[in-house]
Amino acid sequence: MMGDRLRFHSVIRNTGPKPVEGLTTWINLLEVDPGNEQPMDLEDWSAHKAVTRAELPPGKTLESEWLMRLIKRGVYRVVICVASRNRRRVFTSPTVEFRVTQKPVVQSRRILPVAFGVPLMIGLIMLLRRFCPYRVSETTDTLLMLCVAFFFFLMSRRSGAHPLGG
Amino acid sequence: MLIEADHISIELSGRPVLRDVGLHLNEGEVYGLLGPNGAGKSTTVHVLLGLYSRSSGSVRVMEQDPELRAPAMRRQVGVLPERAGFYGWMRPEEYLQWYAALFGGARFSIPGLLERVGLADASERPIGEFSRGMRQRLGIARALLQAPKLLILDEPTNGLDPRGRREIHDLLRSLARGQNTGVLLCTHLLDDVGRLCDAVGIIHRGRTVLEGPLSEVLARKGGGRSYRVRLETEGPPENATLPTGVHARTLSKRWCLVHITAGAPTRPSRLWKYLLETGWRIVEIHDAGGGLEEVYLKCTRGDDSARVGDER
Amino acid sequence: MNPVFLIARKEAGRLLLDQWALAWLLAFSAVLSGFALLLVSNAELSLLDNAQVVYMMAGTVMSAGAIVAVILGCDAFAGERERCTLTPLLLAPVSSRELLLGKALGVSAAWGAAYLLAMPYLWAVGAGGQDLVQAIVYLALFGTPVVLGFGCLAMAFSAKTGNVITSLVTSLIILLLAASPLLIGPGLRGTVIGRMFDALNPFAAALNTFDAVVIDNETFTKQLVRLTVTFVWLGITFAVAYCAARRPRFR
Repeated sequence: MMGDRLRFHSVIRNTGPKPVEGLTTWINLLEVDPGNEQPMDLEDWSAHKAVTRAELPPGKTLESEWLMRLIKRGVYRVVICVASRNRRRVFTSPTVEFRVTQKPVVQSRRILPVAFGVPLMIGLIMLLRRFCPYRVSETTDTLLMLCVAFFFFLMSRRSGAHPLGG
Repeated sequence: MLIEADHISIELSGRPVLRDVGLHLNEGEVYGLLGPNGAGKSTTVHVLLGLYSRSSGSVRVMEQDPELRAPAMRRQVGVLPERAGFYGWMRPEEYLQWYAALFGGARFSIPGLLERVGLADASERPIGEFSRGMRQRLGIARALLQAPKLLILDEPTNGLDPRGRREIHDLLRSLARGQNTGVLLCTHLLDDVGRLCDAVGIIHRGRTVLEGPLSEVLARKGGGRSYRVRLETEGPPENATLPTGVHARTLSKRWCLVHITAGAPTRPSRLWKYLLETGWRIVEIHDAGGGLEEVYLKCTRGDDSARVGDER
Repeated sequence: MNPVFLIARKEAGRLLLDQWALAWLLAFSAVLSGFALLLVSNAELSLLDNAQVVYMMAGTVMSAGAIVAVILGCDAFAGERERCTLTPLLLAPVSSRELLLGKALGVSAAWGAAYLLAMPYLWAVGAGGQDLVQAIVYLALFGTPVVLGFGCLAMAFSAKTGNVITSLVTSLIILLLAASPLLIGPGLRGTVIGRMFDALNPFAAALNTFDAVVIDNETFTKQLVRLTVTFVWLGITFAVAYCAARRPRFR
C-alpha cells in the first residue's frame, strides 16, 4: 500500500578465481503496468540507490539492504545490477515483482475541519476582543483555545486515529 | 542639588545638537526649560536621563552620572516624555501595574493615583480608546508611580483642557511644595512657566542663553509688561508725569505704548486710575505682552552667539 | 518578578489581546489552511506520499513561522518607537540585555503559539503515516533556532534603524534568500560556492534535515552538523541583536 516501506536483501558473491575490483551495485525499479512500462526515477522512492566496494576477493560476498518507500500505485519489478571496473558485462539479479495499491494520503475529513476551524477560532477571538474588549480576559481566551483543542481531541477519537500518528 | 549640568555638548549623526547647555535644579523647585522648536530641550532631557552620551560637559542627576548609573538613577526619577505612548490593548490600571513592576512595584496605590490625575472613571476602558488629554494624564500618573524625588515633564499640559491644565498645575505645585519634589518642566507655554516655576532656563540653538530664578531673570532683563492704550485725544496730555518704573511712548496719532518695568511698585489697575485722574482720556487698553514673553523673545531672536557670554 | 519575564509576559499577552498580533496568527493559520486545502483539492497532490506531505507541511510551518518572527522582531523596537512606547521602556530600570531577552522571549512565545497552531495541520495531513512524531520533534528542534534566529536578526535591524518598513524589507529579503534554495539553480548548487551556501544556510540545514529524517529515515546523529549550523545561526543573530539593542534608536 502507498506509504509502506519494503526492504530488499541482496547477496553478491565472487565465484571467480580473481578478486573483482571497483565493484558497483545499484537498484533499479521498473513499472510494468500494461501500457505504462517505464523505468522509475528513484528520487522519492529511496535514498539508498547504490553501493560501491573497492575490491571483492574470490569467494567473498557483499550483502546489502535496500530500503524503499512505496510512492505510487502500480505493478513494479526490482532488479539489482552489478558492474566492475575491468569487465564490460553487467550482471543482474532475478527480478522481484510487487503491486502497490492506492491509498489517499490526504483525507478531507481530517483536513477540512482543521483548515476552516483554526482560522475561524482566531477570527472568533478577534471578534470577541473587538466587540467586548474589556470584558474578555486572557483567561477566557485561554479557555476558548482549550475548548478548541478538546474539540480536535474528540474528533480524532471519533475518527479512530490518534492525533500524533499511527 | 537634584540636577547639576554644565557645558553639555552632544553630536547626533555628526551634527552638533547641544553646544553649551547648563541646568541647575534644587529640591522642591519647579524649573521651566524654555526654547523654540528644535532648540535642544528634549535632547537635553535625554542627556540628563542617560539615553544619549554627551560629547563633553558634566552631568549629575541625584548625585549620579546618568551615563554610568542610569538604571539606579531612573528608580528615583519620574518622566513624562515628549510623546507619551502606551499599549492600547491594556487598561490603565493594568498598564500602571505592569510598568510599576519593572521598577519593583508602585509606591502609590494605583487606583488612588488614577483618581489623582482624573482618570478614575476611565479605569475600565482600554487605553486605545483614550483621548490625547487622557493619555497625557495617564503619562503623568506613570511618572508619579515611584513617588520620585525628581520629575521631568516634557510639555505636560499638551492636549489638556483648561480645567485639566489647572489640575495638573495644582498637582505639580503640591508635589514641589508639599513633598519637596524637584520638577523640570519643558514647555512652550510661557503662561505655565509664569504660574508654576521658581527658576527658568532658556535654550536657543543648542545653548543655554539664560538661566536663573524667575524673579531675578525678569528683573535683570527688564521683563516688565506693556500695554497699547488708545486715547480720545492726539497723544497724552502735555507735561504728564508718570509713576516710577512707568514709561510711555507714542505709537500713532491716538495710540501709545505704556510699559511697566519689572519690579516697579505700580500695579496696572492703580496706574489706569492714576492716568485717568491726571487727564489721560483713555478709550481702550490692550495687553501687549511683555514679562517672560518679552525676555524669551529677546533671548531667542537672531544670532545668539554674542549673547551667551553676556547672559550666563 | 524579573524584568525579562515582565517584558516577555507583556509581549506574549499581546498575542492574545491585541488585534494586530491576532491578525498575524490568523494570517499564519490561513497560509497553513490554504496549503492543506491545496493538498486535499488537487488530485495529484492528494496522492503524494505521506512522508512527502508531512515534510512539505513542516517546511511551510517553519517558513510561515519565520515570517511571523520577522514581523514581530521588526515591531520589537521600531514598532515600539513609532508608537512612542519605547522611551518609557528605556526609562525603566531595565538593562538593554534584559530588554532584548524579554523581547526575544516574546518572539519565542509567538513561535510557540504558531507551533501549537500548526499541530492540528500536521496531524490532519500526516495522521495516516508513520512520520508525524518525527516531523513534530524535528520541527521543534531545528525549526526553533532557525525561526528565533530570524526574529533576532529582525530585532537587530529594528533597533538600529528604528523604522518598521526598513527593517521589515531588509529582514524579509534575507529570509527569502535563505528560504529559496531554488534561487541558485542546480548547476550553481553543485559548485563550491553553492555547496558552501547550502552548508551554511540555516534554512537549508533545517529543510534538508526534515527531508533526511522524515522521508529518508536518517538517524539523529547524522543531523548533528546541521543542528550545529542552526544553533550557530541563532547565536550569531542574538549577538548582533544584542549589539544593536545596546543603544536603540528611540527618537
